[in-house]
Amino acid sequence: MAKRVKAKLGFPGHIESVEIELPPGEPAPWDADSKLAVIGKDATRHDALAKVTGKARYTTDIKRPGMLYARVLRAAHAAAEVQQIDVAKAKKLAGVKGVVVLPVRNARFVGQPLAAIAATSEDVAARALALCKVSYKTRPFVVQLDDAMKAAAPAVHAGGAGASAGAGKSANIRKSKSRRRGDVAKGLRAAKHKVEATFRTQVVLHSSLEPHGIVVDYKDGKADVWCSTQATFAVRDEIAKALEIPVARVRVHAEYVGGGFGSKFHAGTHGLLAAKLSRQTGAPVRLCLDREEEQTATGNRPDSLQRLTLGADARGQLSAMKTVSYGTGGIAGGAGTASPLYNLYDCKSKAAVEHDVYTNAGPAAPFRAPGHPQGAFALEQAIDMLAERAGVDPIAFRINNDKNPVRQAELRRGAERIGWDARRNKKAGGGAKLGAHGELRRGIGVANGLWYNTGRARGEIHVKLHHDGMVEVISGGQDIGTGARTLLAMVVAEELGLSPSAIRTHIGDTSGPYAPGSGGSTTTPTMSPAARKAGYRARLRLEALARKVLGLGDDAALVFADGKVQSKDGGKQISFKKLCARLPEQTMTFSGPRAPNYKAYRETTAGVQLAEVEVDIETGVVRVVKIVAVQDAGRLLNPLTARSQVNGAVLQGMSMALFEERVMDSQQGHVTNANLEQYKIAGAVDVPEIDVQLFDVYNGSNSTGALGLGEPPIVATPGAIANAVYNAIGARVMALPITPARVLAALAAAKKGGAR
Amino acid sequence: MTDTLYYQPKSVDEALQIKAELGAEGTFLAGGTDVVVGIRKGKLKVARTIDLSQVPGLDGIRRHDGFLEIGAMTTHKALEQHDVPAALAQSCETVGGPQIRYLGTVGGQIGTASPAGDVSVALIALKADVELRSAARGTRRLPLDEVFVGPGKTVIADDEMVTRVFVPLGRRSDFYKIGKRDAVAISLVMAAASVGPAGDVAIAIGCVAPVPLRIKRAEALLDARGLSDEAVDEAATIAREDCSPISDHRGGADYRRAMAGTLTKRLLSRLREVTPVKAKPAESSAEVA
Repeated sequence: MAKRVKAKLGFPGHIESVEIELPPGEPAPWDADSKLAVIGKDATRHDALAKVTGKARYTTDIKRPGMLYARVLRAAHAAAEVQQIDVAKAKKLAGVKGVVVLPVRNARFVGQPLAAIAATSEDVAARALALCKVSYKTRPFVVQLDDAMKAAAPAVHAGGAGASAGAGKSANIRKSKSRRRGDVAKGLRAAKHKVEATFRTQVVLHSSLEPHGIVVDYKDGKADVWCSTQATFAVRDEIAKALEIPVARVRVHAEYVGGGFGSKFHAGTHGLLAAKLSRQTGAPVRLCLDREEEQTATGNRPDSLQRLTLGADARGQLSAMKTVSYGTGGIAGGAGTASPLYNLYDCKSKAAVEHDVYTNAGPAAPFRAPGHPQGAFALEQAIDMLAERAGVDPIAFRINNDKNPVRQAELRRGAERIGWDARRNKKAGGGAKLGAHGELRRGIGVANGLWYNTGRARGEIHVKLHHDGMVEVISGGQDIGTGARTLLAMVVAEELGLSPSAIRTHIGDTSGPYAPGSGGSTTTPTMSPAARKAGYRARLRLEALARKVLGLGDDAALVFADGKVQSKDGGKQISFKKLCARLPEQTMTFSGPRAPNYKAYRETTAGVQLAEVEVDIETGVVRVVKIVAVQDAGRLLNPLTARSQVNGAVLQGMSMALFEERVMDSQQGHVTNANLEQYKIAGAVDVPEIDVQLFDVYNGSNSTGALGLGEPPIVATPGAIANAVYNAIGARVMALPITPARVLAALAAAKKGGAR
Repeated sequence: MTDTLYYQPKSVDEALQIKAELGAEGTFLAGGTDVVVGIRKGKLKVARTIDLSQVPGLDGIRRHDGFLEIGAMTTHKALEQHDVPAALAQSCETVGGPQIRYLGTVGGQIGTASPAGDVSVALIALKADVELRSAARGTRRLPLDEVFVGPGKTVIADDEMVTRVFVPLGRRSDFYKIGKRDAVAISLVMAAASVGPAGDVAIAIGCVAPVPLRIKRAEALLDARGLSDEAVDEAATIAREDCSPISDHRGGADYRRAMAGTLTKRLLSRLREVTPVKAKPAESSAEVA
């Protein structure tokens, strides 16, 4: 039965009483008035010790009796007709046990899987690969965005399904999404101040510490699968399909996952090959990719070319915003970057047109806030340019043009934390000359972020009460490093008045209840309310029992705290353990299906970042001194792991801003830096001071009030750094990464063109 | 990995004997930070490996007769912790990460002959000599910058090994590196310079030519005219002119060429200042032979 409750929602200083209609059987959401013992307090990850001592077993650590080792044969050409794959010699090599050849007619990128070989060791499998002979008929190919957009460019999907060219147009361009509201042309005509600018961002690679890997053990029509994945159930379904067996006959294990960032939603071609090899050989097959394969073929963040046009009236109110973007994710994958422009800022007239451009490179995969750090890099610089033309302070400009009260409050807090008014250069490039020879300049910049998800009504959690007082929380989903395992225990601990460490969580095993894949920052807002629901149901059962045991009336209120259950006045009590001993069954399982969302205070997450940088104007080297990251994500369940998420996102964003870039060889068509030696990620000494300002917003969209936090904190980082660089040197770097050479070129251009 | 034959000599004489027999087939293995990685990647074809780790007397640092004598098997870490000229200490500190610095050796770096060799650039700018030894001809000593002829190519004969490096004492020096990031990064471009007691200048730049490049034309100009603003500017111009950088995934040729000038100017300006550039104090004397 639906029930109406009042909840105090919002954030300190902006608390509103909101009426919420609860779906049947749901607990009232934790709100601003809730007094919580566990939630909102730092809890160490339950798996921290296992991880740092090496006890945690990742897919790459799995060994099965009689296990075979598989390697993938990959295409050597960026575009070619595959005429023959001759594996006869490889099959004859001693130790080779199985070969699966894919029906590939056209190779479209260097590194595309063609076949796989299972052998008694990695070494034998590698030698067998060398014995395979592939006959190609090569074709012209294209690996760079600009080349692929030319009318005469070779069609990447020639000889197969794909784009077909109109006259005088590249066959590789696909308009993917077009959104508009209002009248942009009119808004621009009305504008007193205008900015037109072109920005570029690079291809970035996920570079998860644990490369993609799988072990498939298929026997008697059943498969056990260990997979480094962020979607255990999707992998289950894909493997079942490949082996032509019911999904219930496949069990996927992913107890520990060494990062995914969006690249691990599927079993992948290598996963399906491993499954087929296991069926063919009757033995367990391990197929773990090496770093070169990981950096070539398992996903990327597409690059972008973004043309932005913004207009504002004389008072600095936005009158029109427009972006037209192009980007390549290789042979497949969306490259759109327009969402920040379309979703940030109150402006009546907006147009956002996105295009995907095909190139002969590995396919894109979702990557931590897909499209958003790229889009915000362009948008937030353009906003600063417009604010400067309108003569308005960048933070004031943002507040004037964005009614979101959370983001406004976050901007104010961020400004205070970084010393915006006192320490930012009033004139860009006009700061003190620092360093031994006056070669250093400091600057401060800001950028907005945003994210959307409030979780979904999918999946469930089981809570098991045992007669000895042991509580287990079970999910078939996965923890890809965000701390989900610990959060689920915390939520149930809160509900039952226990310490989180008293609860054992089982995760990453599809014999447990269904959980959706970890994407879109939905895991915590989807799974934590399900955990609360299961814990709440267990509690209702225990309450009924406790009233009977303690001789209380049917309506008597009970308090669950410190491992005890007591009457409200404290007069009567029983330990949690003893109460469990009185349960009618040895073990009782309570299911918590995720209910539809309640009414939310806000549907979106905000988040702002401010950066301070130091630039050497002679060498162009940029050092990020400090990042202030003010971030909300509904109610923050575990501040310790929340800070970890923000730290990680800021580092990944900074690394994207300054260092990372996949480089393709235009002549040979391959990735030239498919490793971590030449594909440089920020290291320990590059890490700036990160001031994480967690910003609780009591959201009410679900029973825990949590929103997701994995993606939002990376959105603003590159834009904030770029704006700080401008404030330091008075010249804009319009492309990522902000390399020393680009900084010097921007300085030279600014000198030539006079002050902007 | 291809199979290789492996030797483990117990003395310098034995090592030289083996090397003389194997000639170009034999590759010395010092710290292994280049050789082992190269073999594993299949980039280095090594038929025979001669491991020097069990040869006594090849490491150690001592002051003798106005020179710092550094044994070829001395690690970057040992140099970093020792009282050595500033440019040398700084170059050692920036090589790879700690793990690489505990393994990698001075002799190994010279043998690898990379134009991106940080320590080689520092040593050239310190006017260091290198001692080469063979079983047949004994030892010879020549300026380090004359050793390198191309990427991975040196004048070291097939039967020779690097035994010692001689660094003249009393030179003020400095080193500057621009990497893709701040640690465990091969240089994008780097340079070192020094000034001797008599005012003579030496400059070397890495990653801007096929070899660690000594800018002799600029040195001659500065020796004649001193470190005046104009002379320093001219030296920087010469550095830009005399290098021949390439573009790769770490950076572009134009940027490297520009930095050849910028770093030359920066280093010379620093050396001109009265305060001597301080070397790190010795942390232990254990390495002193």
